[in-house]
Amino acid sequence: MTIWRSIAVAATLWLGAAVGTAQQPIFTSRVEGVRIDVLVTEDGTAVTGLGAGDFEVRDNGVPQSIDLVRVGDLPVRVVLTLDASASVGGDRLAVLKRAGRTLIDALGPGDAAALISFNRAVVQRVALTPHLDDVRRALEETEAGGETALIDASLSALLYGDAELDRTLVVVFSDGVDTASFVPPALVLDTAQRVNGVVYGVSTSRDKDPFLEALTSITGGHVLAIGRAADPGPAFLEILQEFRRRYVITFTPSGVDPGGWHSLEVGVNRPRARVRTRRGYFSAQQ
Amino acid sequence: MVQYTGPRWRAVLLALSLPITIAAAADARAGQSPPSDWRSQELEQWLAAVEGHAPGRVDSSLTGTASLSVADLRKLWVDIQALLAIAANPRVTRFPVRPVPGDSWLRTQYAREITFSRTERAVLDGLAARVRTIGTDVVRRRAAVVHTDVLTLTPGLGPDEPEGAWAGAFLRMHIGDGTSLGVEHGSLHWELARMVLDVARPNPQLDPFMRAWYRATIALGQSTESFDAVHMKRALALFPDDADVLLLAGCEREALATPLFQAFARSLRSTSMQSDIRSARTELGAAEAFFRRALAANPDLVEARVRLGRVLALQGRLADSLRELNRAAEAPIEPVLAYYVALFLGLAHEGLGSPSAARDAYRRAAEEAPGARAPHLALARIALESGDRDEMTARLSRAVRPITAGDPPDPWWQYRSMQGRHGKMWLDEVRRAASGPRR
Repeated sequence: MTIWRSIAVAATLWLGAAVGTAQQPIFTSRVEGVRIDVLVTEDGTAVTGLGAGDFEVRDNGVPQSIDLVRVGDLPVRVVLTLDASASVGGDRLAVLKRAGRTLIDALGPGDAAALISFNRAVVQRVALTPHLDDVRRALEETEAGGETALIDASLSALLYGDAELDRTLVVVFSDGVDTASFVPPALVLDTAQRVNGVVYGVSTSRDKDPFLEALTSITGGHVLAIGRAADPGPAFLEILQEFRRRYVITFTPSGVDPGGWHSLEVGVNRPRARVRTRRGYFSAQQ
Repeated sequence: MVQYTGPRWRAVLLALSLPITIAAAADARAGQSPPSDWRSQELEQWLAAVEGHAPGRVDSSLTGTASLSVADLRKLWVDIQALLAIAANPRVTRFPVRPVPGDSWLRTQYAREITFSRTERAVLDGLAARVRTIGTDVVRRRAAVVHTDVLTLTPGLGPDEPEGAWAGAFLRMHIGDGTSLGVEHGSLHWELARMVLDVARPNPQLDPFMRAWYRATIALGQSTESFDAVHMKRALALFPDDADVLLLAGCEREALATPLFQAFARSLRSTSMQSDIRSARTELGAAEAFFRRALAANPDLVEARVRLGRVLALQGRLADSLRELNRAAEAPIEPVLAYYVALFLGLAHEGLGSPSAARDAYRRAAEEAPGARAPHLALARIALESGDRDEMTARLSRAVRPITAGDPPDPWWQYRSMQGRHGKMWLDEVRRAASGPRR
């Protein structure tokens, strides 16, 4: 989640539908806005067709006026963050590559993807690009070996996604055992509260990884646990489809003190609906 | 016992309880003679190798010793003790048998002491006379180097063993990325080296060679992330106030507190095996205690202070960590340690809510190690928080840059093994000491 310092940034954000398309900002006044990604489900199925009037947003308990709700037609930026450590070697890596291809194949015109792989080193294999063949090729070239810097990789993906100033889906695939990171998990979770990306995890571990669970929860995503023998391709597709069905809600905070942690509550006027979104955001002191 | 080893595989020799030890079926035979197939030739071959081996070289003496079977080595374990006992006292008639730590075979084959026939005793007397001629101390040192060289210079040269040969032997476990990669049998050569050094030396603390050997072998093992808990335990028992040994002991416990080893320990819970890896909190506490003891023994041992600062931070004692790291930073220090100090100072400052000081520290770390990635990632995070997107992007691009040929590794990746960087040099010193005059 980002506090917009200028609507000029927001204009770029909303109108830059195609990667590489030059868009001129259309507003120049300074407005502070908050953007949140929201998933609404009923009985496990995403609910579509809702408008601004269907939502209620509370910032630190104070009801807010919603400026804009968008869904579906926004481009998706996927930062694929793949575990290439020894523990996913062999057949696991082959399955992982296939899953990555499945997800990339599901991207459409205007979408873009980047590939970050990690073992003890976190490496940007392909920068964000609409040329998806580049990502496919890099996926094929990925080799497994070494330790797992899951936490460092997650931080790198979050920062990378945020640098793109766009709606970013971060997919972290891992066996869930960090063995090599430098950055403490608490600092990464703190960062997750300050950035835009929504993180989904795909874990092959039978045990829940507390870090990945917390990271996805903070950003409004979740962890899909798959067995070691399963093909995670469908899980990747599920993540992408879910992300596309998320509503993007914007509002300009009012009646709340600036600065510090702001807890968010998002409600919807569907009694059986379940809302998944980030738990709050950090706002710098003005 | 379990050991994990290899340049990619992390190794630790841990005292495991019985489930991983395969007990031999034979009954103990208290006071009995050695097995009927006892021959003197292995002992003669061993003594010839001790005399003839050029330390640090792969020569016929070494390859001959390396090719001894596990059965031969077990016999040698008993016979060398008897030989050295006779060399020390030609009239000795009782031969207590020390058990092989972690190897249950001996306990089932021999009891507390053994006897020899007249013929066997005559052979032993002759060999003991040779030991006295060479010098018992010289034999001890050279024998320790022979067995060390077998392990370090000719790994895997042992013979194909018949089925069941390893019954009762301890095991080494290889782990990588937090999970077990396989098990192999441990080598008796370490046990023989320790035994020959121990057996004829009533006061090891007065033996600088012995101290140097333990220091070198532990450091060499840790340089490949091979952590041998049995070896360390023995070294600590012999040299409880040695700063270098205490530093290495602290490093072992610090390593066992890392997610790599903790993940492995968790993976054992679903098996019948046990390890002596304790919780991360307990291991960090043990590491802190060893580092403090090392500094008490040698306040100028900066590496112990750097690592103390880190384990304090990991325990959440950030102000204490900062104090130790600042003291370390003031001392003359190797570049790699300066990198660690700056990196850990950055973390401590971040934890204490001082991003500006953290930024300075991380920048120093980045300057100390051009190949480093960790400080750039930390700086990218700080830049995000301060709203400096250009700086964030620039730092991030350095943190996740492609790995190219000749790109130096981040020293952070070697933190668990860096303490062993002097091991080879120290072992060469030990070899030179053993190469001296035969008497």
